[in-house]
Amino acid sequence: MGNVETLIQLPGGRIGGVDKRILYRIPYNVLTNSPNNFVDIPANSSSPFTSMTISGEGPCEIASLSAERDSACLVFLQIQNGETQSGLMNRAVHIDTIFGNGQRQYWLPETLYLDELRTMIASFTDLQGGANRAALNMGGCRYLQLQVDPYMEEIRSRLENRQYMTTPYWYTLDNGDVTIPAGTTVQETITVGQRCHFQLCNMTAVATSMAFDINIVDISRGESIIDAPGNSNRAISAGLCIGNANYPFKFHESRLIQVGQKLLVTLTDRSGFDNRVHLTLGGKAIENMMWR
Amino acid sequence: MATLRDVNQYVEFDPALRIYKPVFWRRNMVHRWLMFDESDVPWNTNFTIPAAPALAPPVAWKQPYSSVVGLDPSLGTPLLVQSLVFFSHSSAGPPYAENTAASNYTVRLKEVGEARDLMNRECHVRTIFGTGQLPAVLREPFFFGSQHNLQAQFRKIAGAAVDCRHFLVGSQFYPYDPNFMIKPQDRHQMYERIRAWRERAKIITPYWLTTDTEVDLLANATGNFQAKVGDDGHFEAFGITAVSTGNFSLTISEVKTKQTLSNGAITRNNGIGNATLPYIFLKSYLVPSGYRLNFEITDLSGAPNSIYLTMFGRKIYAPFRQLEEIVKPSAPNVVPTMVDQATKMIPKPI
Repeated sequence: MGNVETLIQLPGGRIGGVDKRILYRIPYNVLTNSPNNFVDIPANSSSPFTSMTISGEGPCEIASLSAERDSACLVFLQIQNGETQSGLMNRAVHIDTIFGNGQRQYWLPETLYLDELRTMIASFTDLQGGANRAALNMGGCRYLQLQVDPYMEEIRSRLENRQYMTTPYWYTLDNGDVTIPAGTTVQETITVGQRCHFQLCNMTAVATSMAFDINIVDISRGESIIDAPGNSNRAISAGLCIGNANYPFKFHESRLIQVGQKLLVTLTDRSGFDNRVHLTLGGKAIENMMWR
Repeated sequence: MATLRDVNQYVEFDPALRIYKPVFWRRNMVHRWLMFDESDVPWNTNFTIPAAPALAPPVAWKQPYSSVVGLDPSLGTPLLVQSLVFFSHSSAGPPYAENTAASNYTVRLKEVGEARDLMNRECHVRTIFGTGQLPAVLREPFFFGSQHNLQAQFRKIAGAAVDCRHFLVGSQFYPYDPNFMIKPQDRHQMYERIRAWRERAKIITPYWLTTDTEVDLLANATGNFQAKVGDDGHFEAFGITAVSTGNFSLTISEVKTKQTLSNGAITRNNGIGNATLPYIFLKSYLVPSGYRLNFEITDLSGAPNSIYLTMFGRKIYAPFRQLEEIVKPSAPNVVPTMVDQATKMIPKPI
């Protein structure tokens, strides 16, 4: 997006000084609102929706996700824009598939714009059967004192306008997670919503064992995402094409899946035990039509 | 049509001979690991940091002046340091137990020739130095000129003596290659590059900012600790690292403006890394000279907690200016990126 360079470069590589505008920009971390920086999650149930709000000093561009949690849980993220709420995922996803940690952040495929009227909302669902806690941290930068500087205001308006066209988005299986009985094959679907195209950028999963094979087929086109259109449509080992939030598997070419299309996900266990799989496809939701 | 030169900077096409030839000035920049000087630490031996609380004697990396008389205009063979690596192991042995990942000592770096401190106070070694697998990459390379010294002073925080080796890693310039006599353009390129880095180093150096006092918290206690950026230059932070006995939460604010860097408290696990895998800011954070940062730290471990926080970045010895004061750009100073397209087509929200 718009950029402010720290140094004013002069011809010949000389440095003319430090651009004052750099003071209008600071790194910023958006957390669940105090005093709920750690959100308590009751055993086997969901936490209340918790807001992640910033004040009116200036908008924030979010680019990375990291979290600390006591034990495994699902997370569901929504964005509230004025009166409108919209999800950033089709269902709750496993926290370890989209939130990294302080050492290895999960970098969003698309930055997210927040201001005082545009708030993130998170809720969690415990998976371990005990009292659980989670603390989210969304890292980015904040633009301050924009009104006094037309140049900075231009950056802000470009950031904001972009959010009406595209946001980060995640898809998991239509039924959430799936348990593959030992040594067998199951088929699940992922249905892309009716409002936005989905640009698939990365793939992450948490599973009892990564010893399973996977194939994902775009049903409308009959093409495998895993094995490429012209090939024999074969499944490959999950360990070769799926990462986690710290090290997501990134596609060399992202793939656009149109509104309303279905993906058929075929999973075959190789571990010899029942295998519970939380699969998350990460990418961008791209508006199908202008709604503003 | 793309040529090999487009994808490889070490060769150039000679249209007369129709062959690819080496770019001599690039060939004469070589990778280098620089260990402590032999006068301080004999070659191929370790430096021993005495048991706590004694301060180790200063030790230095030195850049010799090696040149061929008349073949370079007093440029020497400068080293452009781009990353820092180290390892340490117990002094008692053999066998020596490697404990790089658990090494527990501090380091203070000072550029002797220019009398510039590269940090406001001693920092924990694991917030500054990385390893061979994950080097600590400097956000601003350190231009280490010939006949200059970089001094380090180590102090063990607790426990017995340890042996260590610390290396500065980067690119060394060799501007006196005899090939330059028949390649004046290459010679000029290398000289210009060295001069540009030398000029830049007068204004910008790598820098690390830590708390002005030691952070030792009692179980579940909260404390406020400050870090002052010196009056000599601005500090630009690119990320944050820490080493601590246990988990803690942290709120960073700037004292004068009261501006916080978060809407709550981040924790060591979700918002802070270490030298090998630091927490990287999306955009840098410039703290003007003379300003102070406040770190409000709360122990989350339920036990006494010693915390070493370090923000890494660079120090800039240059005044604030408005871009328009100096240059009148023909186009806005906006660097287009791939996520920058087509936003103008979207009408603004009402």
